[in-house]
Amino acid sequence: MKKNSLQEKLERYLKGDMSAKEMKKFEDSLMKDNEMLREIALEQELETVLGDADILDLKMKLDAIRYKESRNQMLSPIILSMKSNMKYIAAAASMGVLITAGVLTLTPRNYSSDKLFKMYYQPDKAVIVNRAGRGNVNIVEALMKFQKKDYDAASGMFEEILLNNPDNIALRFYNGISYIETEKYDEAIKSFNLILENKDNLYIEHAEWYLALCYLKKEDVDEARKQLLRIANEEDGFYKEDAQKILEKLDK
Amino acid sequence: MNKRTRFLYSDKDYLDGLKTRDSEIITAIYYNHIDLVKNLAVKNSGNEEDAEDLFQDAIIITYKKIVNEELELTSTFRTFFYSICRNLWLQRLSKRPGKVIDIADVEEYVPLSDSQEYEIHDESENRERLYLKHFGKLSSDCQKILKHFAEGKSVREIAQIMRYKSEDYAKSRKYQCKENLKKRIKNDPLYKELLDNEEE
Repeated sequence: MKKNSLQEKLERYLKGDMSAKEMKKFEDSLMKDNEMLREIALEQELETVLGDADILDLKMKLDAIRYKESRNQMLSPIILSMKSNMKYIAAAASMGVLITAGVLTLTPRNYSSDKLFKMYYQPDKAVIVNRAGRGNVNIVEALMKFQKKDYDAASGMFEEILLNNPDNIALRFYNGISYIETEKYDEAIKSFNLILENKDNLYIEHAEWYLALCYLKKEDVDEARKQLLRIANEEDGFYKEDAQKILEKLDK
Repeated sequence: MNKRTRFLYSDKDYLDGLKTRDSEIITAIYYNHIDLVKNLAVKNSGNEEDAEDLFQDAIIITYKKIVNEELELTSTFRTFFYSICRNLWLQRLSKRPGKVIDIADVEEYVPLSDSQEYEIHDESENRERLYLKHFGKLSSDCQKILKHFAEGKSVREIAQIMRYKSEDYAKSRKYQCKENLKKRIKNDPLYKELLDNEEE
């Protein structure tokens, strides 16, 4: 928490919340330190930006539009199939078989469509290929395995690539899906949790959603409920309504 | 939003809606202009990613002008908006090695007012745009908490809204988010460049 205390000092200094003695000491240390002076300048300018709630609001709205548009382009095949799988879940839940055999039919099946796959051959839109740098051949191969529904092989290759590119969130996501397909739910949960930790805006919502599905599959109703509540409480969440529906069924 | 509803808005609707940051209007402006901006960037040594950034920066500039009542359209919104994007893009190109002075236009443009030119070229405005860009890359959790603080909500309220366990956690989370934002800014080569420009 050392950094926090510096941040805190800076804020107090700029707000004038320091005693005269402390201020003098802080200023003396500043004068000797060019880096620190820049830090203060940045802090002051940041305060202006972060103090304008309207501009932040506008920026968040602009990003939401941009995100939706890029998601439409990239993930529409995944989303469509996830939506249709949702119906199974709601139906199974309403029949009271959610926690028993019904769960086993819930695995989303169709997330890799031709369109999605072909995306990786367009260099300008290929998130995965761009980010991974070296080892592109492996990625294409792994995705081909995924495309051919050879999830065991795909997952093995994803794991290997991820060893060298742990921050490749897209691959991490497909790996999670592969684990679901091979019924390794604990591994899938690990993958989705890593995505959530990374906070990549593009995949976070999907990871949260699949995490909830994994818990359902594992019949861990408590964790599933927690996760679903989180999704249901998101502002403008893509799965908000679906999560609410499942929660209602779970509570019956 | 489909093609049919996109064209139901007038220039006045755009200005009024942007003033209140109406999501529907902003979305309409996006779908009606993003192709134009992409065209501009792609035909002039840029890519679609540049165009997305350019669009956002131009919207924020336009918004500021509307809010400060410094905007009177002397052309259509489209021409005005293109002119803003064009000047911003020229400025960005001028900072690249092998300066480009000429631009291949894809639409008519109008001269901008002094205050609009200033907004585009001022170094501290440029830095602000950079800060906002990185704000947009924070986790949504961080963005929300920083926005709540900007709105002047109390730590207690924020802890409640964000469902944090304690007020202390909300505070330390805010510090973390700000630290994270600063780190991202400092790691951006453009930041150093902007500082150097100022010191010259």
